[in-house]
Amino acid sequence: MHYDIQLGFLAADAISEFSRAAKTKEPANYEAFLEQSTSYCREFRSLHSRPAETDISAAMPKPVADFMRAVVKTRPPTPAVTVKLEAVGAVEKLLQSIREEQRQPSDDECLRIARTIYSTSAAEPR
Amino acid sequence: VGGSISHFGRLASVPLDYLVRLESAVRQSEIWSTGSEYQAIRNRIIDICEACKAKIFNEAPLFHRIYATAGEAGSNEALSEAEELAVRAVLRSTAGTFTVLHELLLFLPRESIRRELRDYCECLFRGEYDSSKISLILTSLFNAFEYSLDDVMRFLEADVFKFKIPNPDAESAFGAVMELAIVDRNNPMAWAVLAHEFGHFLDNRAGLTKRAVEEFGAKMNTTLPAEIVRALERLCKEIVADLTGYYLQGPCSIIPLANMSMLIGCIQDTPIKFDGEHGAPTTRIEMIRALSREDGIDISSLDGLLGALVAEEGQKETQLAADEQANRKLMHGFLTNFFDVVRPVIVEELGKHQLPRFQSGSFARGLQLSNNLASGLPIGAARVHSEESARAALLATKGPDPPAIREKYYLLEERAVSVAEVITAACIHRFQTMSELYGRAFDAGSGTQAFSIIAAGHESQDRLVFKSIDMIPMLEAHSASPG
Repeated sequence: MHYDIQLGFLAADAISEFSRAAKTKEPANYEAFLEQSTSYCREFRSLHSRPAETDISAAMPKPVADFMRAVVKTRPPTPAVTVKLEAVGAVEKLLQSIREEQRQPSDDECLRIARTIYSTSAAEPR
Repeated sequence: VGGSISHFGRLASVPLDYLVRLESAVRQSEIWSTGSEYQAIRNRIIDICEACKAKIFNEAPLFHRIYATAGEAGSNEALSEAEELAVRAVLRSTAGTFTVLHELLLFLPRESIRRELRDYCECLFRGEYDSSKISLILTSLFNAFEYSLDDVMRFLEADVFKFKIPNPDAESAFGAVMELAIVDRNNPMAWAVLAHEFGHFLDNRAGLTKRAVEEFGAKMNTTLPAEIVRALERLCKEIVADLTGYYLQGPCSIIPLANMSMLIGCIQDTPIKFDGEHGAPTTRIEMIRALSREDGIDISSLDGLLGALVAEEGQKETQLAADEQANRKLMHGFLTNFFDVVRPVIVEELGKHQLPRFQSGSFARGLQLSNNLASGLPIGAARVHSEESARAALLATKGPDPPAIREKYYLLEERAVSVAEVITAACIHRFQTMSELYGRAFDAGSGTQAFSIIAAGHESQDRLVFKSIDMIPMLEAHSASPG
């Protein structure tokens, strides 16, 4: 199985902040939770993201675009990673909207974020 | 995901235990091989362990509460969902960090096994263990193995090997190899896994699997196609090994598998599958429970760990798609039935070898010895006569009569116990003291202190077990000598 230590640390940090926020209800803890969650999502994406067809712009020189297409074909993400990327993408959107609205996340939102971080940090069996 | 607070205590002890052991193995290797060429890798492993420990200690109040409550009988207090996620996340991170770092031990010099482990094998496997035919080494994979080195040689294609090695087709030029995870070098509780691995060695020599599968075919009253026979043989090899483990080491033979599965379970969200050879851990645990029940062995002192693993795996199974759940049930049913059919043949075959069988009396003695271990005493020997009968006989002497009392000194005789009983006592003692040790650790003022307490707790228990195993061959030789 593949396990990434750094990603695991970020997941533990974010969920730990969630637990603290749920207990104290302090804005600083919620803020730390949002920050850590954002860091986790960023790390997850950089670790698992593969170039997709949509990353190849029309303005790209043909040899580069062909090369990119070949890369896309040779390294497709596994179905499990695709599902996780979607889940992390949804959490990123939620985090962004909370930030834009400059508010504290609700209990349900916190739980949703924490659960997604936990489930996406699992290693996949070989 | 529900679960009582005591459930999390059992769950947490495995990754915490292994992280502490890993760090101690790396620090120890620094003492005996000081070469600077290993410094970078050692430093990095230690740094990561420290970072992981800091994250665990961030949750110290939660762990303290878990272990304080876990020690209270019948506690059903539950964690809040946020707390549960926090505990699970930190355990996932600990278990994941441990498994990755353990593989990095490949880059450090490989240590040899402990002398006490050799004694354990010689005492447990008796005449069947011949160190000229089987090597015992440590591996950087967190697992245990048995394989034929001759088979490995046959796969080697490099010309240099073709010319240098003896003819690999000659009978057993290199013999077999048993491998134990590096981290378990100083962990006597984990040595029980070698009873399972030795079962593979015995099977390869004595053909237990072949006979058992033939018997299965005969009972089914049908001729099985060659492909099915091969599939059944793959299954049966693991059953033979599990049964040998139980035959020699009793119910504690399953503890290393339970610990390993608990660690893997922390890291992944899906239950551990049947892999075509090894049944799912829950199936194998059920087999051991059934054997213990039939042998009149009450394993309630070990069942906390086994129960926690079964509960975790069961919970994950409910998250699977309906067809996957049905498939798991089908495999479980087939394996347990297959086990019931082949078991008598395998046990009969094992009985033909000069091997010491673990029985209900062995477990009872293990339980008794765990009390001595708790008093800080080595347990390599035990009284032949009970305390009560010795006391009664000595007090029955009328008046002060030293010669008559001296004649009864034989009532205080001690004899070597079996290594299987020592390991059983060690496992029981570990489970009994776990909550107290971890509760005390998470009550400490700093992470450094907390993990020092855990490491010191393990070391003092392990030292007593090493001492106990160390004295057994000498005591056995003494008992066997005439006069």
